[in-house]
Amino acid sequence: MKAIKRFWTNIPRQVRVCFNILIILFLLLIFYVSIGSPVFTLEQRFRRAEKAHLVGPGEIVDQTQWGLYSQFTDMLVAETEHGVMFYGYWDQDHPLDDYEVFSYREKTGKLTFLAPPSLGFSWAFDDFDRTVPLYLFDDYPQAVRAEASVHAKGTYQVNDTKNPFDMRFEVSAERFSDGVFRFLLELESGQPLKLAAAQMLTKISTTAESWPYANTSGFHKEPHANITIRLYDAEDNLIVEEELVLRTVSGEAQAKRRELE
Amino acid sequence: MNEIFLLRRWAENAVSGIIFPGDKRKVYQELMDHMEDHKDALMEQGLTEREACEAVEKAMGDPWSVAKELAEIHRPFWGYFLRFTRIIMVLLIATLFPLDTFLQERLFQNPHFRGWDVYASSSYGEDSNRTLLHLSKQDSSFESDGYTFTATKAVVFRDEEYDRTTFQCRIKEFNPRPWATHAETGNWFWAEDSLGNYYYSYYETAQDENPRKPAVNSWVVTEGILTNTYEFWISDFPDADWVKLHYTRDGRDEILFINLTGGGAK
Repeated sequence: MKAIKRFWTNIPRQVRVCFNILIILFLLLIFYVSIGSPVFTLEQRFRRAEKAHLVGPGEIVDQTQWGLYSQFTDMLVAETEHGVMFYGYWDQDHPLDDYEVFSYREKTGKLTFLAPPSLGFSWAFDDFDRTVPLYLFDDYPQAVRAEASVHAKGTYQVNDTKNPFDMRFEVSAERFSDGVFRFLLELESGQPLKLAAAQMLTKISTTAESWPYANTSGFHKEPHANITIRLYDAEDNLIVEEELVLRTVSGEAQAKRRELE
Repeated sequence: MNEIFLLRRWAENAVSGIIFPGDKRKVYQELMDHMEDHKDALMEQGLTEREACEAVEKAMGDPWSVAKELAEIHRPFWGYFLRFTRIIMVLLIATLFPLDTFLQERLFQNPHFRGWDVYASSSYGEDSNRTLLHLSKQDSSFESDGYTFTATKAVVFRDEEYDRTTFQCRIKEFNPRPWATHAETGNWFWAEDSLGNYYYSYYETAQDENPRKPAVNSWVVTEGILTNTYEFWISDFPDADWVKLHYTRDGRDEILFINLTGGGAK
C-alpha cells in the first residue's frame, strides 16, 4: 500500500489531476445515465423521442399549449415525409421524473388530419376555456384557405348519466405554414356538447399510438366523426372537397397486409 | 540526539505553513539536508555537535519568518486543483452510492422476466403440460436510427392445457449511446409466416374492436445501458417454416427473418 502511495505521490500533480478528471467524467456519465439521461429543451426531448420511436427526423411546424394529464404544457407538432407527429411531456413531482406523449400518424393521402392527444374527459368538463388546435397537412400548394365541417356523434357519461350527442360545427383557417392549415376550435365551459365533440375528435383522430394516460372511459359507444374538408385557392375557387376517414391503424402495415392477402 | 532535535524542530516550524503534505515533506527534507551539511562542515572545523547545531540554527534565523515566506511560495495551483478534483470525486461517489440498485440493474442486466429460459429449465419437464416443438439460435438483424435489432433465439411450444401452440422469439436491441433512451418499437412489429398468415401489431389490435385478432405481442426481458432484450410471441401459431417480423413505419421497412426449420426440440 505504501509503495502504491509513494508511486502515486511521485507522479506530477498535473498528471494526477488529469487522471482524476477522467474518473470524474466517467462518474458523471454514470450519474447522467442513472437519472434517466435527461435533456433540457422541448426540441431536444422531441429529437430523442423521434429516434427512440424510429421515426423522423421531422420538421417542427408548430409549438402549442395543450393540456396533458393535469397541466397545460408546450407541445410540438412536426411533419415528416410519411407522417405527422405530436410531442409533449409533463413533469411529475420532479423535473427528472416525467412522462411524455409521442404520437405519430401516417399520412394516408393528400390530406392528413391531426388533433392533439385527448384530454382527461372529466377534467375537460370541470374547467375548460380553451382553444383546440386541429391541423390539416395537405399536398395542395395552391390552397390558401380551408374550411372544415365536423360532424361528431357519440355518447358520453358524467356521474353515471349517459348523454348522447350529435354535434355539427364549422371551422375555417388561413394557410398556417407551408403545407399546413391550423383550425382553432374555440371552447368554453358550459358547452358540454361541443366539449364532448372536441374531446371525442381528439380521441379518435390522434394516432394509432393511443395515449395511455388519457381517460376516455366516458365514451360508451364507439365514437364517430366525419370531417369534410374544403380547400380554396387565392381566387376563392374550390380546389378539393374531401371527407376524411379518421383511421387509427397503421396505413403502411395495412398496405402490406393487403399485399399478402 | 538532542542536538539533531534542535534542527528538526527548526525545520518543522519552518515548513508548518505549507499546506500540501507532499510539498511539506520535500521542503523539510531539503532544509534538513542543508542544515546537516552545514553542521558537518562546522564539526570538521572542530566544533562539538551541540555547538555546531546551535550555530546552524542561529545562522538559519527565525523559523517563523521563514515559515511565512515558505507558506507564501508553496501555494501551487495544481495542488489546490488536485484537492478540488478529489472532493468532486468523493461527492459523486457519495451521490451514486444510493443508486447502486439502479447500477446493478443497468450494468448487470437484472432480468425482469427470464422468459422461456425458465420454461426451458423447469416447465418442459415430464410433468409439464408444455411440449417444446422447436428451439434454435437465430442471427437475423437490422439497423435503424442508431439501434441494432438482432433475433437471437426462437422457440415454438405446445401447451396442452390451453390447446395452443405458441411461437416466441428473443430480440436483442443494441444501443451504442448510453445517454439515449431505448427504442420504443416493440408494439409496432407485425409478422407474417410461411403459410401466408398475417399477425397484427399490438397497436393495430389495441385500436380494433376485435382484440382477439392474431397479433404479435412483446415484453422487455432485460434492460441494460447498452442493450435491451425483448421477447416477442404469437399465440395460436401454426406449423410454419419461418416467420418474418416487420417493422414498417415512417418510410422504414425492416425485417427480422426467423427460420424455424432445423434447430431442435428438447
